[in-house]
Amino acid sequence: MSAPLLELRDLHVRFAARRGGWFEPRRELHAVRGVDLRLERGGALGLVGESGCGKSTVARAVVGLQRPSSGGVFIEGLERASARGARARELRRRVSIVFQDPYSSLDPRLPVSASVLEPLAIDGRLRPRARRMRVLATFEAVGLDAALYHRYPHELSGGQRQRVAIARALVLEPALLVCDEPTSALDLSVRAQIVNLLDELRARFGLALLFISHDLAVVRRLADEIAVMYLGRVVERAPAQQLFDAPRHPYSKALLSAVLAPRPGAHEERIVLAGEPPSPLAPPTGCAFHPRCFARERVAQDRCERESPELSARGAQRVCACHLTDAP
Amino acid sequence: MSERSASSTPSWFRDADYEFAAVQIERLRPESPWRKARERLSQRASVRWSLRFLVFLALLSFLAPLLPLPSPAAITVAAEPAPPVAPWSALGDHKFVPEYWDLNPLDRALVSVRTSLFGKWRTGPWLGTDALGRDVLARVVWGSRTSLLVALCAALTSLVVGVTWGALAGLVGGRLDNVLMRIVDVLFAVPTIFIVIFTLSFLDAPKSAVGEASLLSREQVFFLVVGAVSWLSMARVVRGQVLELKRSAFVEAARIAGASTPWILRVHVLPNVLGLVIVNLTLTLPSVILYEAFLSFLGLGVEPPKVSWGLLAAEGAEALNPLESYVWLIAAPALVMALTLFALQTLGDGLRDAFGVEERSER
Amino acid sequence: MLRFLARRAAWFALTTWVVITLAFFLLRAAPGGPFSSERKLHPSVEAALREQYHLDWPLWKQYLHTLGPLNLDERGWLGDGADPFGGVLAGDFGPSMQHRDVSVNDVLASSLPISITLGSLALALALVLGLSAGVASAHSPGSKLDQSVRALATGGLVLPNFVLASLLVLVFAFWIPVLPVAGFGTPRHLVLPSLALALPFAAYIARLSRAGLLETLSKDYIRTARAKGASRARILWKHAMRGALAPVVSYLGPAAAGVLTGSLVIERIFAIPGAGTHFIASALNRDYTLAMGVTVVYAVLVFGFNTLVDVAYTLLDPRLDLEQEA
Repeated sequence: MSAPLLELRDLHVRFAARRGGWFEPRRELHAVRGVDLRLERGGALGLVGESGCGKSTVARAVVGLQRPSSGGVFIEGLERASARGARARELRRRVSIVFQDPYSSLDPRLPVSASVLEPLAIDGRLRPRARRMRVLATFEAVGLDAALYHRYPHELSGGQRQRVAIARALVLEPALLVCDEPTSALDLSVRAQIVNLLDELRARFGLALLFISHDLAVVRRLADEIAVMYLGRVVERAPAQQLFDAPRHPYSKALLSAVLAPRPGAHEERIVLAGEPPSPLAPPTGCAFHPRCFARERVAQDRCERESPELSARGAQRVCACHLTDAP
Repeated sequence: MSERSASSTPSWFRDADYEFAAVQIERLRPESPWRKARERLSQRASVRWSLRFLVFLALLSFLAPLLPLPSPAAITVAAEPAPPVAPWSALGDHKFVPEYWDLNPLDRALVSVRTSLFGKWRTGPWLGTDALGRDVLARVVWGSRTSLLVALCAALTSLVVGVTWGALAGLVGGRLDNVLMRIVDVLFAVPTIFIVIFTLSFLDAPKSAVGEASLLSREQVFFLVVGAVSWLSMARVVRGQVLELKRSAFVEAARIAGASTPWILRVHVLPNVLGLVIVNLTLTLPSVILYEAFLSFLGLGVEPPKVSWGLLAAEGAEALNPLESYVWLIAAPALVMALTLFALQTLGDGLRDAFGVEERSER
Repeated sequence: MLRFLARRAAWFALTTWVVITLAFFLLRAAPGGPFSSERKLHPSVEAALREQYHLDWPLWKQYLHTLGPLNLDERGWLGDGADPFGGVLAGDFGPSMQHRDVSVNDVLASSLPISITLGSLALALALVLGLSAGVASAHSPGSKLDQSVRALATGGLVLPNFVLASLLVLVFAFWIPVLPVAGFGTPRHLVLPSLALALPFAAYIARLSRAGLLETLSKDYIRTARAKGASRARILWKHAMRGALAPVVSYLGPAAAGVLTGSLVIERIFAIPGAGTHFIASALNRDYTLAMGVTVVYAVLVFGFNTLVDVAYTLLDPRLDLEQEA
């Protein structure tokens, strides 16, 4: 089994955008424009970027909610979209997801135990009593009191609901857990608990995490490697520590400066990006980041406006897509 | 990797440790939201009384042929409307004549049971009589059958056609959704009363002109038509809710787990739509009963000698004049109708609160 | 806004076409015809009449002639061309088949203004009565006033409008004879009919506005206004009204359709010579042209009013995007 647990190969996702009127041409929203990622067993990859950069679409493609327009999602070497029958079932067991909002991700008319039990019932593996035993075991694993078994979502706190959602994701013993902003709808105090829980589960079950967030503090705590996305592309990928110590891409620098408290002695300025992120319906030419890029002003390269930079190596383990930092 | 899919996979979870707890927990029943809603409902005295009244009315109306009432169609020649008399002053007499319109076999059987039970005994004119000497109480009780049947018919169409239509549009989406909903939009924009009046007036043509007997009786057409116009708002409401559900994260979670569409329909969509459907139904029923009255007033309702509340109220309204006010002729049907609608409305409000559904004006 | 109106116009064309087509074929499919009444006509007379009204034409030709806008008879394109346009799309409904020698347009011109007067009066009355009752009710929820308003509103919702009308007549014309029983002419004649027509809608508007007001009153920005020392009446009128009006405005569309339907009954009870009387009579008498005329006019009225309501709704709530709605 040499294939990585998860591999994205040149993943593209396009949506047909609503036409403005009868006589306007059909437009296309190119949400994900060629993403390559690898995640090994037990690894933790953080995917960061502003909202609308396509990171959630990547997550949806990984769990099979979104068909790739081209390129593919490979799980243990198997292509997700073309899998049928027993293979598709096996893929579903191997990958599960935790959504952002624990209020909408649980059916209000089902007791939480039924929500956790649902993947088992659909999978049809265990006998009814064994299913209940498994549900109780996952409750224990995510730190939920068994007394909540028959409760309904509205009777639970936000943190408890998110634990239920995690329990549901774990019940089939997946190899990969995709977390789509699992903490951003929660209170700060609860956020830390959920992050700790995910870290603990990862250690305990050898679970791999694909962690999607705009909260860099959370990503830093959980991820070994971080990929920064901008407008449907990965612009920089690096081991977490290296990225936080020395971001290469101007966009990564801006993101980090906005979040991290300045370290004593360091004289980094806070970088404030000008303007809104551009619409994915009308991406800028050349480097998608160039209209907001601050580094360009100092160096002034019209290459940025013409040519889209490719990801290229910056040292042993990291890649970056920027004309300005081409030199290793 | 496919070797791992065997059921003998070593589990992360030591399930066996939880057998005792699982047995324990099976004994506890979850407090279902349905039971909660029922409890919240029954806490209200007004809702309890409304329910009792409606059940009583339904029984009364179904068992009408069995009751020792005078015949609702028996005409006394040259009678004047007679005012109500108190039951204690005129409990009843032995002048019952079994005069009805064409009853169905079940009702005929009930009538024969009635004659063997009570013989010729019948109740007195407790609610008075009309200009043809017909007993108002009997007519109100028999009339309830039409009104309630219309309501039932509309409810069934709403449930069957409206819910299916809306659910289909919401679930399948895309082009089908577009077509189905445009049809509803157009039907909404066409004032339904046109269709009703045209359809009903078909059967009003002089029989000689028709030439052949029509396939359906006027009453059947009447029920069909009322049903046909009552499902539109249900279709819209259900579609909206289904669309919302389809996009919800919990349905997506089920899809990721491999749930089929029937599974999602059964486990997630139906239970979440049901509350809304019930509430919408109790709000539709009063308007359908009023609609029946409206059509009866225009002479498009059931045909005499059959009766309905609307027909009775319309007759009562026509009997009002400045010299001699036969108030009971309008008061009796109007009061029963008002009570029924009031009970339905109270029940609807109660259900809405119990299910936590918001009031929306029907658009 | 322009795009909304354009889309609305397209919808309007489609709906009108559906109404015309539906009315045409339903009428022709109905047994009997305009000249098959009780008094049997001499066959030759009937044949002449049928020819005069083009009932001898094939159905498709009758349909196109009715639809317009091209006149297909001998005075139209195929004839001498003196009267090239006709049919519903040209605004010409043709001669009435029952009221001999009178055109449908004339019948409508004499009766429609009466119905529109009555209907708009009733709608205005429903708004005024319903809103003031709702506001009074929401001003002090739970009070005697609130309770009686709610009881009255319930009364308006559980009785058919002809019963309400009869009650009004009984009280204000028979017992306390201050108003005429029926007829049309002076403003006094309009009081009872418009009231009877308005009451059910006033009741529902009262309910809606009360619920809407109470909901908005519980919102944060109202609490802020109150904390700043604004009086309850001022809050009610200045701040809460806007939010509470939205459901009422969106109800006005169905209410207008309801008023039209209700006027069929009310015009009959009060013997008002409006278009409603023609509506049922023409359908029953198979007066094809008149029935078509009344139907189309009513459908247009309802549609136009609904569009107005939608425009008013966006003015009230700018967040709403008409382009999405249409």
